[in-house]
Amino acid sequence: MKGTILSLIESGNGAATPESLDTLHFAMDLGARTGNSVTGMVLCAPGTTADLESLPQWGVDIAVLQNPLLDRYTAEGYTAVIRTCAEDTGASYICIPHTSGGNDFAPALGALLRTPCITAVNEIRGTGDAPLFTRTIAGGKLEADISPLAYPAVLTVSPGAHADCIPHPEKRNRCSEKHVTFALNNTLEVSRTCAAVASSDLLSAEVIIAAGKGVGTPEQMELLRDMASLFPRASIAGSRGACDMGLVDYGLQVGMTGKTVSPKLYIACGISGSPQHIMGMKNTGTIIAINRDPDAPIHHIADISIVEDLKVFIPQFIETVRNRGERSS
Amino acid sequence: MKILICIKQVPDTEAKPVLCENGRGFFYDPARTAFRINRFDEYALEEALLLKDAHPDITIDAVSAGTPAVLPSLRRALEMGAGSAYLLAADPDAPLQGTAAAHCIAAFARSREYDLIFTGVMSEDDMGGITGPALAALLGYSWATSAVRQTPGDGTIIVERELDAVTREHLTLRLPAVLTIQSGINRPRYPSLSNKLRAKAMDIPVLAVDTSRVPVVERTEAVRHSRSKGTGIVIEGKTAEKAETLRSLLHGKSLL
Repeated sequence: MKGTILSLIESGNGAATPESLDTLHFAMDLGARTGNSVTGMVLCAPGTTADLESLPQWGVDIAVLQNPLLDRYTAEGYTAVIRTCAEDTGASYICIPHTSGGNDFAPALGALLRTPCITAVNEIRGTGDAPLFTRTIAGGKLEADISPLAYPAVLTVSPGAHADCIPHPEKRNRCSEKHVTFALNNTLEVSRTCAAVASSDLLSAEVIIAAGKGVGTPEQMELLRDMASLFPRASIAGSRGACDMGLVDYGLQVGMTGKTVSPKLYIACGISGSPQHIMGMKNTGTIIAINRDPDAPIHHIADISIVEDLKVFIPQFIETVRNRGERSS
Repeated sequence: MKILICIKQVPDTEAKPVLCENGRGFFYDPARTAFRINRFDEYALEEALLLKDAHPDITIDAVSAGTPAVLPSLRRALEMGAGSAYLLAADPDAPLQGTAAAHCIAAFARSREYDLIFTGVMSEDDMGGITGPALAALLGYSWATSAVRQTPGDGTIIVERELDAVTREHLTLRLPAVLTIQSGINRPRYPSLSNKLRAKAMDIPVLAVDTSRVPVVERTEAVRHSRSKGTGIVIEGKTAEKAETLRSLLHGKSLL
């Protein structure tokens, strides 16, 4: 499909977010495949474009869309502004980071445009007029190639789906500022707070023993704690499902809505391996998966897989290690 | 106050999807697969039931778009305490996902004038997270995703959204509104015996979907099993042998 590719640049802590750079790189790849130009969109209040300084020089157009109401994210505002921008530019694709902001409004944008919204895209397949977009389905067990049948197609891009793009200092970005008009009819107040979190040793742990829903009961959670005691500098963690079941504190949650960890060793126990969980732990040194379901997607990213019921395997493993007296300290 | 809960039926986590011969779709063997309400939608239903516990004049409807195979999940919603349930009957060969489901539910909900619509933040199987915001946009309602707290007031609702591990967004939105409910914020109830008996006798109307009004915006071209990253090993053998192999591998990597 011909037409400009729009790519949303979100900012946080005064700089473009890493997810936005991933998304921009995805958009540039899509642009190269389809022969389309890419425009990065920054939505902000007038006079707050300092974030642009942090953008690598990739030789792309940057549209700075300004309105005092864009001093903070609102689903209503972002949907209205990006919809207008897409219609004005005759956009072919709208690439949005797969984040708590992007996921909040991208489906609404697709519904209003009567075009597809394909969320958590991992990969582009093919070149030419109609490349396909790959996402995981069936709890991560399958992946599907999807073709949009209406444009502009709205895509949310999985973090890390694209490796870092090398900046080209000689290719300066071309920025243009534009005032945009819209009204917030339904959003009356917006503010943000940061929850106070108890300090945990999760981020500094060298070994993480992580529980999933498959752990099932507090008694079996004790098995994981016993296993953790075999390792120095080990911490317990959990998937969202394990936290929801009350097996693990939310402060120890790993994944998209929890923490991102990169220990030397991550032992995933009874974790199926949803993309949301994997986002939080894929940069681990060695991943071990203990899950009785041979089709669980966690086995696809594990370095070492054990297809076994954890309540049988973990006691056996603890005994084996203790018998060998190999415990390090 | 009228509340609508959108429910999707999903296969159990350990269910095994089977690829169609043409490679463009998949199915689950109904004889070997347990189906249930999407876990996230259960939290959405419980959130509505808690409101009704405090304000008994609230009515709660449950709706699902799909085939008669999803009736057990709608029955379960009645058992948990929903007042009525509706099935929007879809073509069994055209599963209604994401945007298409939102168009069907919007057509159903438009004339019924709900004050609040709750659904899960995503489905456990497809993880699309599309239905809620898309439905709100089609109805012209306010919306917020990933809600962890909500307090309806007079014509407005205060919502707390989870953005990440520590950040929360606080919104005041005009009603009517659609909220997608994050998991873990309540404890979905088990149906009482009296509710089970009541639900057993209830009719679940099956409403035809006018598919000509549902735009076909995407097509699945190929489905395959997720690929392994290819570098992992699977430890084989008896349990004790596996334990020893793992111990030895970890020892070799100086991790134990």
